[in-house]
Amino acid sequence: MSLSCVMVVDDSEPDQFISKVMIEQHDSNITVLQAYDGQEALEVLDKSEIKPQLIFLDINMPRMNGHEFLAAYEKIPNNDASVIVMLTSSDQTKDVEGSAAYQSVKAHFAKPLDIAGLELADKDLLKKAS
Amino acid sequence: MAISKIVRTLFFLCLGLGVVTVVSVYFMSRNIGEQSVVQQKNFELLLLSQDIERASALLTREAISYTLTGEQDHLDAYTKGLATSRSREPAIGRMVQLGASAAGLDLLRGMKTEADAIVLWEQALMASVSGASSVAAAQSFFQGDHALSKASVADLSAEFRLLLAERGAAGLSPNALIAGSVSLVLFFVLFAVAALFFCWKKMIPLPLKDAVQTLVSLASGNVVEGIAHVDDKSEIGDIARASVVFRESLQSNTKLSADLERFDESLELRVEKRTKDLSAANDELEEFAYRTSHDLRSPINSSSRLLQMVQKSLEGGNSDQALVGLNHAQTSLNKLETLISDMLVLAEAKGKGEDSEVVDFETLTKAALDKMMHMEFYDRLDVQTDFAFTGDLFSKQSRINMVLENLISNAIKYQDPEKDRPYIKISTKLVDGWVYMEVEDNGLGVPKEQQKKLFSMFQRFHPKVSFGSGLGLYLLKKCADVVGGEIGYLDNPASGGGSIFRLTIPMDLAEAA
Repeated sequence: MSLSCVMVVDDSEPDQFISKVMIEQHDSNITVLQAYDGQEALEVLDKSEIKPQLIFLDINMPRMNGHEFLAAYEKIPNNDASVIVMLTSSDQTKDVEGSAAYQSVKAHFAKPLDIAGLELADKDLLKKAS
Repeated sequence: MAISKIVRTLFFLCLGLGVVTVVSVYFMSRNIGEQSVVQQKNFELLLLSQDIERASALLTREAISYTLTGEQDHLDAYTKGLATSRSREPAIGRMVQLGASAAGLDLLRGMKTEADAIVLWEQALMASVSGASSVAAAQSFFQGDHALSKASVADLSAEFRLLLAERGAAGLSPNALIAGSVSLVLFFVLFAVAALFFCWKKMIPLPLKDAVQTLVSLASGNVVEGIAHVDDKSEIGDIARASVVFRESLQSNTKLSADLERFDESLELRVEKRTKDLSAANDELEEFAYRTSHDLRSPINSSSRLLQMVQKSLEGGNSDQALVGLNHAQTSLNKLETLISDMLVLAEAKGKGEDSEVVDFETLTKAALDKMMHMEFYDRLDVQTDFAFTGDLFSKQSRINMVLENLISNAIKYQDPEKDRPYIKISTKLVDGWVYMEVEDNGLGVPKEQQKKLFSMFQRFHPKVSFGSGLGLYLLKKCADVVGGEIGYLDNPASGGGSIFRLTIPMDLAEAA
């Protein structure tokens, strides 16, 4: 199964831009969903017809942060269990451990997203998950 | 030497003196008794010797009378007297009984012998009266031999008396005299010592004992009630007065140590509170350092990547893409600049020392509004003011101004674009001795679930419209702390919602602290 839909949850416009450009460079056929905080991400997931196979999630965001999103996301019944990769500028143990507690979280990347990271997520993580 | 030992020694001395006195008085009285017996004997011996002499004289007189007168009466008297006295054997027997000395007995026997010789002489003369001339007989009585015999009796008697007198004098023993005077002296000494002892004991050892007890009690830390002998002029009085001084110092020491203990306790509490505050501040600082490093690094990394992307775009001839990237890099760096400037403001707000002064809300508000006039969408706002508090608030003006400016600026930024008549209302009032400064708007407001974290650091609440560093309200909380007040959020009860931020300030910062 090839990667067709990715969601980026980040409140920073520049980072959203970088991620989008990188994903498009990786594979221009991929649909990129964007959300600026956890709340919006939940809404996007709810409304969108295609579900992302991969979600890049930031932690520090207004309204609903990454951890709160994870808690809410895992409570959604019948969710397709997308692979979630934390994409943050924080490498603090506290934040990494906080995210690792959620089973949907498969990896922890440092911002900004690069091609190598994308390929890793695409090939290894998704294959393992499927 | 201990006072008690002296007292005991003196007591035994008195006892010893008493015993010696009693013994000496006993011996003296016994001696005097003996003396009286001796004197009695001597007296009786004297009487006996005198009796012999007198009897001899009486007989002689009767014999003379008979020879001169020839009367039978005299002869009869003589004969009768001779039978009872002249021989004197009973007298000598009595003297032996009385224990007369050998010399005395010899003298008495001599007297008897002489008297017996006289009797023979007189009898011869009286016999001659019946035959010869009485005149011649009478003459014979006065002749030398008879007189000589009589004189020898008298001489012996005198010698005996002398002997008796000597013996009487010898009987008065000098030991008895010494014993008498010694016991008298001892008695007086005893009396004097005993009297002195009791006076002295009342004057020195008893008060001294009191004084010593007082001092010992004070030394063991007891505050002694009522110290005796304070008015005494003696050294005991000095000790008692010194004790009073010691007691006062003990009392003040006790008070001091109690104070010290209380101070200790309050110090501990204060240290505990400080430690807690410090530890909280430290935690906050750590959090701040972590968040700051994160938020500082993030835009730099992003910009760096964006610039790489721009370079690639330009190389690929895609200038539109490059412009978008540059625009994002600009946004990122602007965010960084905002963060840094907010951090500087915060550092200043936390650390800056400032004197309290009278705060003029009206002037501050006017200046703040003037400053914000050029902000985007400012013109849409209906600005209202209501300064009900008109008293003199004494506080740190720059902190209050910082709160005011930030709240006004937030109200401008977070307007609700869907509302027709957006407004901002700045008001003050006095409630229970606290000054309330409120900034009210009908803007976006803060959702209930976010309100708890509102004043924590690095929190942003408005998606997409959030331009801030997330430090603004945290900074305001720090300012509120500095002026001894609080900052809080209330939902605007007016229809359509909005927010009310309220800064509560004590009337006088010095009093509140």
